[in-house]
Amino acid sequence: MDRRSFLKIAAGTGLAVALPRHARAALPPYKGPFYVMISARGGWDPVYLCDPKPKGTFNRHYDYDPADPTAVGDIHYADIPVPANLVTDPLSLPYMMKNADFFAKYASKMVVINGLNMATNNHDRGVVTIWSGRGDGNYPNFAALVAATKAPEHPLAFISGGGYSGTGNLIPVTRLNSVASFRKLAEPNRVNPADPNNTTTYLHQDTFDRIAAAQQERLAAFKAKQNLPKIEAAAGQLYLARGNLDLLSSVALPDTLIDLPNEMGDLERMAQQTQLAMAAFTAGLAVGVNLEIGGFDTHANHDTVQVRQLAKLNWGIDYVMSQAAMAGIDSNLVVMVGSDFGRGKGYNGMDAGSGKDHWPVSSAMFLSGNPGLIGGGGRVIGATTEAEQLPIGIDPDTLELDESEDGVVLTAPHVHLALRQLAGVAESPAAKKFGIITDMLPLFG
Amino acid sequence: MTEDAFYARLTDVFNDTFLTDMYYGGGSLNNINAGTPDWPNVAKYFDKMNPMPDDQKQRIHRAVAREPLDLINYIVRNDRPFTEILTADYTVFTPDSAFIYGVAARFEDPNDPTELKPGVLKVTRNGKEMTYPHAGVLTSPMWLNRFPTTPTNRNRHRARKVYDQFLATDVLALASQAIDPDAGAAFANPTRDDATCAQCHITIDPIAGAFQMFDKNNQEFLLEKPTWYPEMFAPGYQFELMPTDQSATGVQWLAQKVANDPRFSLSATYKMYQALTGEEPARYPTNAAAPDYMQQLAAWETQDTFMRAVAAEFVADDHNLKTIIVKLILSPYYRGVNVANEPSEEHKAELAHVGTGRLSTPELLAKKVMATTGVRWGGTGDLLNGEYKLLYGGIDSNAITQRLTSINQLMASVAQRMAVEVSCSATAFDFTKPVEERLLFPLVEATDSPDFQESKIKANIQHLHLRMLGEDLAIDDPEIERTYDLYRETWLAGAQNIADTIEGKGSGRAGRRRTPTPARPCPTSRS
Repeated sequence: MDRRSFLKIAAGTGLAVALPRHARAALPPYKGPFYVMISARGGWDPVYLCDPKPKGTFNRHYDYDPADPTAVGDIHYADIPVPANLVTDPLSLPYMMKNADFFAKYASKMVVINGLNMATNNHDRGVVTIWSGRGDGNYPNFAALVAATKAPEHPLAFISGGGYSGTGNLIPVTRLNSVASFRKLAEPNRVNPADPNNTTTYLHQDTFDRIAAAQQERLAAFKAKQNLPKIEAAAGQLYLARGNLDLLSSVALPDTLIDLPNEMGDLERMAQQTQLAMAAFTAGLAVGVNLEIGGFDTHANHDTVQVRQLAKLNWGIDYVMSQAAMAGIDSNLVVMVGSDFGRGKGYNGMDAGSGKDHWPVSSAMFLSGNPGLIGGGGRVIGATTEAEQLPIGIDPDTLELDESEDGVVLTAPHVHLALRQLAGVAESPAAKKFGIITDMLPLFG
Repeated sequence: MTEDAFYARLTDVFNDTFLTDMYYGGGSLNNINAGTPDWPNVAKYFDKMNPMPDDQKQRIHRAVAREPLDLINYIVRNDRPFTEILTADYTVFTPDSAFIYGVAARFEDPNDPTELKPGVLKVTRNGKEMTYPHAGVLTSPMWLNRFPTTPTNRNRHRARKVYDQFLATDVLALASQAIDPDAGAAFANPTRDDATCAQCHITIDPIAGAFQMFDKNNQEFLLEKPTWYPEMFAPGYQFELMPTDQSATGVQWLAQKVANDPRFSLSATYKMYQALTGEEPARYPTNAAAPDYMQQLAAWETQDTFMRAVAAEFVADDHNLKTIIVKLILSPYYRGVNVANEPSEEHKAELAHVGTGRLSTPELLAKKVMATTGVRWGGTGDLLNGEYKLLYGGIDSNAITQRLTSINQLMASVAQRMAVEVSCSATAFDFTKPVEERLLFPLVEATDSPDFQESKIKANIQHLHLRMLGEDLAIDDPEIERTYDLYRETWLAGAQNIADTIEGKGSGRAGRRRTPTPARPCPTSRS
């Protein structure tokens, strides 16, 4: 089948067009920038992270003086200790990172957005909003939007290890969860891909290829005769999915995935997803990935659970950056960290076991090994009031705080419009299909 | 709709909504053991001095986890009104869950972990025995734990789930206006007194109040004397207040109201539509500027009219869920396979929801593999329900609760690996059986060659198209010819490879085994 015929078959699938192996001359590896979206699921508390407040209604855990803040450069942080009794297994301690250590290491590579009005207190809506820029529609995750625009034909273009995986039907979602399973799928005809010395196959490779070609021919014939749009689209999606299977074997996976203590299971999953994602990035087959760590919905025991989860999140972000550095892609990487919404305003009780409820004002953090990608590191945009934890507006040109009526309160649509600009996809057909109507703010330069 | 496979599928379908299988792998007992003595035999489950056998523990935790889904199966299997998923003043127990809950029920076979008997839970408060106010799924300990409340949430999460799961209503969509964080600041009780907040809370809070008999921390714990919050909208349904003397059994009052709401029958219809077609019902088109808006509107109106008619028949047939299934399967939304002429772009919008073309879930594909080949991928376990479940777009009912509905490259690769592994075992295994027992090759022998038995081979290919693909083709259909050409080419290449000693001649280990385990290699090639 020639390229024109293939493209005709692919048309109408609703998905981006991928080229089967015989129709593409060579699929160039995607070389970045790569995008990692890290979801702190459940609603985090920026007051205990990057939007510190003096001890009182909102903070009963650490000392903070706005006149003499704990800060690295312009980025203020909550100087919370991470006591050993947050975990039961002493072996878990190395997998928590204090805010002080985290910001000391990354403040210069980071943009913090505070006073982000998520405009919702609902988890589902919050998750969709922070990762797509809209809460009320089937909008794609930002990483999926970029993947669909930059490298739709790459077989692992958008990987989701949790978080919001909506794609607006622009591109398929891929899940990865095991090295052994991935190896088997990268070489589906090989009996034991884990053994490099054993090249035994189920079928002779010529037979396997012959069957695969016949499957595609049969599917193409079926699709050509099919006039019902839904069935035609499904046939096209299957055709596309079979197109680049041979590329999967180019992913150099680690021999084993990281193993953390049992009580760190959520962090272990995030770290393992990080390892798999880095392998897919390095192979040039992936554009963006979702990562997630939950446990932030601390309606109770806020001072222990929220603190513990934030310390784990810090370690997880550090792991992403470290793995990216080891893979040599950290300077071509953009990491966004966010949550459903914030928590507060204050505690819902007086006792030590009380928690904080949902609060629509949140924060977001952006990191890159090359801060130029995010318009320069060491910056904080936006703020919240000390008395009410309400968002303070900013000047839309200078991004300085502007408490007058002209100040613009930051929202997720602002962030995503700027992100689209950063990634160079703002004018893409996909971005226009899922348009965001708001002021363009120079958040990332 | 009498076979066990139907009810296994029903379990999958309703778990997609209730997600209580989160506890099926473990954890169900931990949730009903939150420091309360309600179920005395739970202590035996956790007794380390006299440990319970592992297989018994597994049966117990699975039975407890599956209770809400088993209740639905029990209702449908016994042709009881589907409204009982809300209004049943009982639940169902297996011998294992009856033991753990201390329920006296008579089983025909106490060793059968699948036998279900109705019964009621009882708890003791201050020396007084209280009967659980059973209201179908809504009072299932698993449902209550899966959709928990907190002292500040006050059952609003559960109220939202009632709307979503039983009334086909997304209450979040009711508040299209964004929340202003400063809203309510001027009000002492904003959820009632600030119109911005109250627009949602007037809908949610009355239903939340119907769950007031359950503890705010210990999810399934029945309170002796429930109390509610006077600053909230009073318990009720729509604009009807719940009688104050119903507070201890308010969830039963709520269940009756929901079951009688016309949206309940529509919700059941929608759910089965999604189960059968793999897509959500059409949404009312909102973009009037779209060039095919009128066609989209026509498609929605047609489907909406149909859905309402099916729901009406469901109600008329005493809420028999099978009625919905039959009506949907007979409709073009399920049976549509093609249209004669290529439709115009506008006509395509009208046809957007006709036919299925759905991606099989891993659970469905596993059942299809077993049903068509007689072989399970992975032997006693099933790789599609294990190693490849999430990779093939399935859910774990915990962190991953949304199925993938579009196939990706890894999923296509799962299917390819399944095909080579299963076919390897299934074909060789089939030839070990007498002809009359064969599922795949009743018309040929392994020694038949295309040189001399072309007609027999084509006839068997015709049989395989019907069995594996559901295609009833004439013997001279081009697709039969395509498959035959593939077979012949492969046979000739294989003969050459055997002559060149590149491939072995036998059928491998699977051909000598009565119970094949397809994860192991059979005839192999070395490249």
